[in-house]
Amino acid sequence: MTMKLRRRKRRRVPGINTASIADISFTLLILFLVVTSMDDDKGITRMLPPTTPDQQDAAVATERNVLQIELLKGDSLLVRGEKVPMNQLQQRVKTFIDNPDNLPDLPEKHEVDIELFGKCHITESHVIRLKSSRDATYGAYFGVQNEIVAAYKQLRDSLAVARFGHHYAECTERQRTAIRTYYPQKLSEDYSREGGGR
Amino acid sequence: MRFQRERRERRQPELNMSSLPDLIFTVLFFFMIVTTMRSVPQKLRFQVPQGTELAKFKKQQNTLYVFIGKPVNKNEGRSDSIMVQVDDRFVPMADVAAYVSKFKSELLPDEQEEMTVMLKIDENVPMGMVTDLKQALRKAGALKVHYAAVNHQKTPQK
Repeated sequence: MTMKLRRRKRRRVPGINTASIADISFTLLILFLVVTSMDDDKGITRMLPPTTPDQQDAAVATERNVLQIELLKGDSLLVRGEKVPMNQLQQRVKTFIDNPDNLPDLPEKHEVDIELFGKCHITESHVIRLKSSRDATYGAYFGVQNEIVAAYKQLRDSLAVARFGHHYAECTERQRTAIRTYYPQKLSEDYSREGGGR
Repeated sequence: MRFQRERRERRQPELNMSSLPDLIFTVLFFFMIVTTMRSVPQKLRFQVPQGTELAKFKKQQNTLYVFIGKPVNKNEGRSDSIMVQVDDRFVPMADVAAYVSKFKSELLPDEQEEMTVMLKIDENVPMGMVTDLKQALRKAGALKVHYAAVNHQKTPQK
């Protein structure tokens, strides 16, 4: 009887000393603090035109359908030969794409049947042509790209709010397709050198 | 009498440290999740432009990194020269097309279609170099590009 009691007392499980856990996790924490680079890659994704010359048909677009944007040396902007400050570019691009008053010097409208919208008059054949001088800076070029993206985004967003009652980001895939058909993104870049030849 | 009693109760309580490991673990897990190991060593100094309409870019295996900027190490080229770094090495502009098409040919066919070139370019680089680079990418058939940028710090101009 006494033997049995003693054995039971001995077989107690010893508690694990957890004092070092804090130190270990501190070391790990510091390691991850050091190697962390919080750069989540953001930016604008674009497709470059292929080198095959079948894209040349864009060049025959009529004058009213083309918005020529030139980025000059010293980062000044010419829109259709007229000097425009960067903060007005977005408005210019928006008016060009939408052509709300159906002006004769802005893109012509065609009647197109779009799913969910029915028959619409849209400026589907518009083209924004961006030409940049070799002496302009990349920062300014990116600024122009950013403004063009912003213009399209705002037009699409306001269309989504008008037709579906919520923002473009909350649209279903079908609604987005309809909106994208209404405002197709048409941006072409001029890669020719100033000297004339390619 | 009353005074004495109060003094006796004012013993300093000991701080309970048992929750400290849990706290540290939580912070540790946070950093483990947000960590992205930098795969490409950067040999160039650059400040990417600012923008307001940025989209997130999901990192994939088939992404090629191209940097344009001034070298960090003064010994590599002249300090004022602008250089191109593809992946982890300097490549002269004339060889970029060959390098990119080699990278592309080593990918699987369905990866080739999705291949993206991440352009991290300093905002003061002249467009001439960027245009040359884009022409080289077109020649190599790498058409999907991503212009890296950071969010605009000030209120966006309207």
